[in-house]
Amino acid sequence: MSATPSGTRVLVVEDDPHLAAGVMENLRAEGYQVSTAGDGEQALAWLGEQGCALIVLDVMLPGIDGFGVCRTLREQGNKHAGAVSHRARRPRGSRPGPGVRW
Amino acid sequence: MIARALRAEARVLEEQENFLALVSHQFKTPLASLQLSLETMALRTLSAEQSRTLIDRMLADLARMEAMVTQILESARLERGRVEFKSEPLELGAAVARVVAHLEERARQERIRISCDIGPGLFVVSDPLALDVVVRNILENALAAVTPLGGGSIALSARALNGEVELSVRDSGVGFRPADGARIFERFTRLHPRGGGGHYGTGLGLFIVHRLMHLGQGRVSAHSEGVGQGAHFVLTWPAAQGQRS
Repeated sequence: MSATPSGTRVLVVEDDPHLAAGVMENLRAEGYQVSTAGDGEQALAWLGEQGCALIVLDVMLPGIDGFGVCRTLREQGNKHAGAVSHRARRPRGSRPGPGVRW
Repeated sequence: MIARALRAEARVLEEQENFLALVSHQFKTPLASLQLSLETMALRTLSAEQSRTLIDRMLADLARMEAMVTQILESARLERGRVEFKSEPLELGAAVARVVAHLEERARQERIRISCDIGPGLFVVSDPLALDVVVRNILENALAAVTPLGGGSIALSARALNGEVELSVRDSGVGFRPADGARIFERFTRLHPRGGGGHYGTGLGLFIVHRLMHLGQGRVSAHSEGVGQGAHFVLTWPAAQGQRS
């Protein structure tokens, strides 16, 4: 990941339009180049065509959830993007999925 | 007998626990959005236009939470059976028009066209508040089903039939598996977790519709050809005396 935000590409995956807009606006204000996806499928389709340095990933998504997105990316051998979960519901006793930092 | 009672109690406890977990989680999203907007306002220098956008977003988050509280209270009231149900002749077209007027702005923002083909003179027997809640919940459910598709339509029509009045609500939304047509009215059933496009279902809206329709000697049914195929809800009330058919 680039040390400076300028132009660094970030994908925000969030199905709530208010949260998606809020996170995107703040990252843009810091100089990141931000795209958004409303669900896991959209995120994977977007990532299939373009790369990014970081994915800000909601865990509870309609369809494929955040863990499913991480798993698919790993299976596809995508090791470029780091993923952070930005407001995960962490069930008792559960552990973060592959590639996810809480 | 005792074992059965214990099992029933355990089921109720489990349902309550699920309910608390679900409701808490439903509130977390608009709360997180409110917090994000407020922190953004506190930490950044914003233009008047940016501030206005954030204020509108926060007002919408509050409205979402208020709607959820209303549903939870309505559902609790129905569960305890503390409902005084009036039976009055009510004009369906006027009741629907009031709810539609209330939701039109939101529908427009989500690029959803609501068409309403209900002639005057169709009177149902119901409770005025119950009728309002039922129509509102059915329409909000339809909006939530269409919103994730980025737009679409909701078509309302009504007719008198064999001493009853039937309201048909068709949406071009996400639909559901045909087998889920009955389950959709059970408490806490949410066929599409997190609803769509920022609408926050509690899993109570259609349960309330079902209970209120039964309390008023009416009925409701839901049909869909499958996921992605839209949905069709039919509500039936007893017609008021002197109904023109």
